[in-house]
Amino acid sequence: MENSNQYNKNISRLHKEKLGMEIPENFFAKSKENILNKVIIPEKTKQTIFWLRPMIAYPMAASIILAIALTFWMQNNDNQNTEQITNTEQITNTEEVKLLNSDFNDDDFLISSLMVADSEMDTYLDSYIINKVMIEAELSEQKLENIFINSVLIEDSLINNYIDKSLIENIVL
Amino acid sequence: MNQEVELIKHLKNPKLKNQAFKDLLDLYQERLYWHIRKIVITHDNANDVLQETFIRIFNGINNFEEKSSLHTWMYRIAYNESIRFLDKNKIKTTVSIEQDNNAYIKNLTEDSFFNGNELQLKLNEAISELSTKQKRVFHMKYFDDLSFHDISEILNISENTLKSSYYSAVKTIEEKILAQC
Repeated sequence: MENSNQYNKNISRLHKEKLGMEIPENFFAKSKENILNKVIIPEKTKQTIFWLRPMIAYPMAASIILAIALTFWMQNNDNQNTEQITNTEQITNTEEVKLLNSDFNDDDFLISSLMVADSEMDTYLDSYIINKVMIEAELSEQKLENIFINSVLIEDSLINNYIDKSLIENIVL
Repeated sequence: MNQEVELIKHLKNPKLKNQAFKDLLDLYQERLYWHIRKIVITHDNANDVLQETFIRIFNGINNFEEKSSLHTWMYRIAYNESIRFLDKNKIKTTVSIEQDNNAYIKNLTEDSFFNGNELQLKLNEAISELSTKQKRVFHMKYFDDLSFHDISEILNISENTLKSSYYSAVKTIEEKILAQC
């Protein structure tokens, strides 16, 4: 480095002495600074407003993402169910289905199913099962009520037979 | 030479590049300035070209294939930048300081950082009358103290041609100065 400095001094002296060329005072120091300012981007100090250890920050971030994802998923799931129910209602409320459902039995169901489009078949099946179960449940409830009302009117000696018979009929049917 | 190899290694290492570039400036800024100054003549122009040269060196160091020495590569960049500057200036003024001796001397004497006496001015005049090639060779050999091998790499001219040009230039300058005295 010292050799280099001496070499540079000699070159500068030679140009001044032989060619009469001058330079401003401290020119090379200022020029060096200008060049460095142009090429070297100063490293910005990171100003952290909020900092957590990675051991804590990563699981926390993952939990937040999971919670958000679950919220969205559950919302979507609810929407799908609502949509399915709406579709079921739509189908069961159509004139065709109302006619078909007016007198439910297995043969009617098979015939009426022929008139339903393939794409709506699943929904139609669901509606059929729901209606069937609801009606049956309603009917059996009514029958049980009837049994108890009738039992009040029948003599005590016959009550056991009547209840047994009615219950058996109700359960078997 | 070993110092150059080490410097190149550091310049190509992103972590060490900035410090290595500062060292490079300390080593070569002054030499390259004078090399440029003799081509573009005025201090202000030399300053502009010097900055452009080092910016190019900084940005292009990763493309340096080490086929030549580092200092030869830098001198070539400085030389090319100076010629580019002169070409740009020629378009603006339509006068070339390389071909027009009067323009050369006018630029020199009008520069506020020229403080030459009569003898120094005569030497400048004698140099200005040389052909462009002779002028370049004389400057690089006599003032920049470069070897013929290095000049050959920078100007892409054979060493023998350079030697011939240089000795011819020295003889012409001597004759002109002696004739004026």
